[in-house]
Amino acid sequence: MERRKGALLVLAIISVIWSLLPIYWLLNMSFMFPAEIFAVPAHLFPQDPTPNNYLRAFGYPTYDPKTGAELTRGGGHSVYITGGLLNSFMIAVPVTLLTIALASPAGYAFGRIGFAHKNKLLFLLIGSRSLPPVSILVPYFLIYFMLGLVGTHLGMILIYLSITVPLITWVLMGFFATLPVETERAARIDGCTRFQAFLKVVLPMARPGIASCTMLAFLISWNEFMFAWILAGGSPAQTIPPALASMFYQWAEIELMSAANTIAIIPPIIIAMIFQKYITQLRIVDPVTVVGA
Amino acid sequence: MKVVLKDVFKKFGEVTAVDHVDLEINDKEFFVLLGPSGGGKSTILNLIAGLERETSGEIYFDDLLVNKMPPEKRDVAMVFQSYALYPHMNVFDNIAFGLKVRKMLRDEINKRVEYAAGMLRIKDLLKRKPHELSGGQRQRVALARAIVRKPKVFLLDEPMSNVDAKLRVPMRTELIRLQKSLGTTAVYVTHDQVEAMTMADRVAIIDLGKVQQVGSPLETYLKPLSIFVGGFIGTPPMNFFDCSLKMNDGEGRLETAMFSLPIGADVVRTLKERATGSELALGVRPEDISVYRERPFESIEVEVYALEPLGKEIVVDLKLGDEIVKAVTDPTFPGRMGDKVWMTINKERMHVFDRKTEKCVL
Repeated sequence: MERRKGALLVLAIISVIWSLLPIYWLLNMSFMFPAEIFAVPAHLFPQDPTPNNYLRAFGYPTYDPKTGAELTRGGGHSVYITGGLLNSFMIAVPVTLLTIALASPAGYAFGRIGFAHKNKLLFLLIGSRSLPPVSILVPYFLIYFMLGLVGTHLGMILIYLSITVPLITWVLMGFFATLPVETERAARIDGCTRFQAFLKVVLPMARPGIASCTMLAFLISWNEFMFAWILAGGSPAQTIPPALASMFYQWAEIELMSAANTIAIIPPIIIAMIFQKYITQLRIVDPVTVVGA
Repeated sequence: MKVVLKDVFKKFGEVTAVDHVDLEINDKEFFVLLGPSGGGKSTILNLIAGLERETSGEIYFDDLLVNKMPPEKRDVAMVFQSYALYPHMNVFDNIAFGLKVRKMLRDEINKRVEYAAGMLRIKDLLKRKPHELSGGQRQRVALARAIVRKPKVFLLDEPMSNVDAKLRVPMRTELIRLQKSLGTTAVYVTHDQVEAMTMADRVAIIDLGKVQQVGSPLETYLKPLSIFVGGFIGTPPMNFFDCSLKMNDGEGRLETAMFSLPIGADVVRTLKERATGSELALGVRPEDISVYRERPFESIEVEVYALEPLGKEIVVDLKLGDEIVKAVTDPTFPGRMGDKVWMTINKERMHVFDRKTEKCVL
């Protein structure tokens, strides 16, 4: 038993290192001066940590800490980074809210209510996600072009909803189906209409599921690259992933890219940390029937 | 309030759950739906609550047809097997929920919750969440939630099945006292015939979606109308012997494979009148069989197969041919396994059923 626990612990540590190592290296490089990046052997920690790369990413001028001489001027690529961050927020937040607002009742309907052609609709819903996105990129571009949605926030919100709503509906459907029917029935008996019972009893019980789906929807719309690149790349609605990618086209400044990338992963990390609290509360789903049974 | 079901029929897909049921549940009555699992009794309860819609038939609350009324309008209260407390609300909010949904004033809500919690002795639990409660406490909260609304009828769906066996007996009496003091009609679903016998004013025995018999618990015990009811009510269950009516020199006898029982002329007349054919079943309760060490008159020779002492009585399993007959005798019965003994049947209290119709003919 003890040995097994030990083995599990080792595996857990390996998987954590495996996933955190690139992030650590990103962080490491983001605090270095350009010359140190190429040091051989590589430095595990910056020997002379500097906030310069972050200042540059946000458009501030930087100075040599010893001589006080100006190293870089402000501005430059920072407009794409700050603009990209802002656009990502302007797109990911409404997408997340709309996804939950649309997918919760849809997931409830699929998970709880029998209706005509349910299976066919479900097949369409899930089938729409099984296409490789790149295969529908060209038609999307043409349609968007004709509708004037290329390079707009609205266009990006719509395209991301088409990804998140089916997926989250599917996930929530399974979640709603596992919630105890009797609790919802008790709410009906207590005087709720079906919709009130959904709002006041089913949704609060589904909180952990909805929390994880909120996170998922945010991460999908924050991280999506391909549609953002083709439909909004270089436009005023460009999100952070294509903005980061565009830094490759210029003189590749690894330390600046590291800082920009680090900034870009902070919002998802914060979101994950906020919702982690709810996800670990999973036992609120159904203490009565699960514990009572 | 009176609840009346008229020719109620319910199908789930191709499966018939409730098969043309007629029931009349009187005002202030504690009415029990008793039957094996899957017999349709919970479906009947859900139909009364409006949680399921009948395929055909009519349901009345007093004189009001409620078929099309959604559950939230019916003003019934239900206690579920799992209690179905709202996990995200504390005990107070669980009890008050139905009142809040109905937009009752805060003072009135507080007063009513206080009263209900007092009645069920859970005042000190009001701030707790359901997952912090024991099974018995959850049941009390579920009951408080039901009574706080002062509904027209209580519907209880196997509320005892998640309570510790020890707690069940006091809870039964408490529940009856509660129902009688509130004077609210109650419909109680259970598969436990002891619960039905001890709690019901009247009981309906439900099997295969049909009402097999309605009556007081004692009636169903003394006068079972079918083989099913005879076998379902009473522990240990009734013994059945396949038999036929034989006439011999004007004397009637019930002939089984193992013994033949002489019967009176009036019994013969009744059987001839009411039975559809010659295939009958003799039903005898274990408490109507006497066991003797010495051979008495009109007795049947059997072998003691097993003994189950229960303290105040002994259940004796008797081997008759290939069959086991159960008898209940007083605890001083001296027989041992393998002993040869004799049994007699109390003919005053025997039951005869028609094998074909499965109905009682005597």
